[in-house]
Amino acid sequence: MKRLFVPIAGICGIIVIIFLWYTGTYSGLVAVQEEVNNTWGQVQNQYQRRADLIPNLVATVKGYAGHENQTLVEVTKARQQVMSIRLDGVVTNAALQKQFIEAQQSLSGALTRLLAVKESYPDLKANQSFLDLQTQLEGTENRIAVERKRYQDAITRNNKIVRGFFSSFVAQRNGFTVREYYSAQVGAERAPTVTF
Amino acid sequence: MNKWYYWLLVVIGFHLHAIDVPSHGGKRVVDTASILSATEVVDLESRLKNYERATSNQVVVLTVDSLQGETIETFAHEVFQSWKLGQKGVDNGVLILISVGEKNTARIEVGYGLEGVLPDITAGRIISQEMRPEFKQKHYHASILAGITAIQQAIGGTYVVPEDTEEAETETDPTFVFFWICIIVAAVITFFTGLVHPLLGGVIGVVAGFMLPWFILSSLGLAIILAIVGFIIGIVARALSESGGGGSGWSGSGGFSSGDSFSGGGGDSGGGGASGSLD
Repeated sequence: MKRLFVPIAGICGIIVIIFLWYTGTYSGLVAVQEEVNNTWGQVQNQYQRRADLIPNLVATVKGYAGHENQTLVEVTKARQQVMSIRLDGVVTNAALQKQFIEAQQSLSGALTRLLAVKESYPDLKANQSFLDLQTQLEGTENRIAVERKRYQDAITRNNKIVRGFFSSFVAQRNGFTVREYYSAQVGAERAPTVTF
Repeated sequence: MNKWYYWLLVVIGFHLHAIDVPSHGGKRVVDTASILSATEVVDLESRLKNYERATSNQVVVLTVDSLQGETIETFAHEVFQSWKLGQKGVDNGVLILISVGEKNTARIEVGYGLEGVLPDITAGRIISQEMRPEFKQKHYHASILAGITAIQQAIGGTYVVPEDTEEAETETDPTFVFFWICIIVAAVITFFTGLVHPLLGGVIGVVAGFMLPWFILSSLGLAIILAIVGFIIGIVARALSESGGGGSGWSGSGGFSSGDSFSGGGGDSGGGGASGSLD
């Protein structure tokens, strides 16, 4: 009787370990998936914050540099395009996400050109509300960069578990997939075509 | 309790930072660029220490003589995260980073919790209007002091110190809970197998202690620690099964007393704040 007890206890121990490992890996996957979604939400929030600053910026620049009409129209158009993208489900839809990123990048390009306008207008460059808007924009761009890095880190953690030698077994059975990194497209800062 | 666990992880290299963030060495004014005299450092240090005592806000100064090609924004954020400025859950930290060299630039990085009272515009103006004039005349101490004073004024009376900061500190980390669950599970398995067969107890202890955290957290460091713990429990179980009784207890750590030296409170920032030229 005592002789049988040893292997039985051993087998029970191993079963318990496997069970704990499986449930642990599963909840780890759930947690990291939530993290990916949350960090993406933060990325969207910061982009939204940037878009919210733009009408004020356009109004301020218009007051000093009305001649820069095309640059102003470009920014306004790029912003409209950004605002027209529905944000629900972007995180799980690679095609939508690509569209979102591209729209944000063309807005970035248009904004850069708009801010460059200040060099030709000393009054605008010295205007306090313009300087404040510029500070806010810089702050927002920095926040975007920070949140984007957090998102990338979450993706790395997710993919590490999904691709893991043992944990991929749990991931595949429960439909957890490898997520795509936030990829900045080369040359995406190009100007959107504006026709009058 | 939480702290010694983190120290453990630091020791075994769980949280290795590849980036070149200087150690603060328990100081709130870290002058690696050597633009301040010893007495000036002491002066700023004591102001910041008193300020932290009164409000729990952690304001810290770092000067560097080179950013080694990194942007000041990226570097400031790395330092902020590595030093964990601000109290955990309140995120009331501020980092004043000054880079001297060909170009003198500054950044005030603001923790999440202070973004409301110290928005980017305010931070930007503190740099350009308070710090820059003094800095241009090479009055470095006066420049930093002006920055600190303006930051404290901006935060002003609007920030209320939470009554029980203890609660924010004792908020448990899920990994920490998991660490103990692993130990208990490994202990139970080991104990019973150890009672049945002395050698098996030790072996299962090592296996359980190793496998659990390795598979679930994919952390080799934790796994090795737990393997050792498992082995010890196995030995204890074996001794118990031979002697037929006795007891043992875990001795908890009394926690680290927070003296005069600085340690990050576990706060975080989302990249808020502003940068500006000091030239």
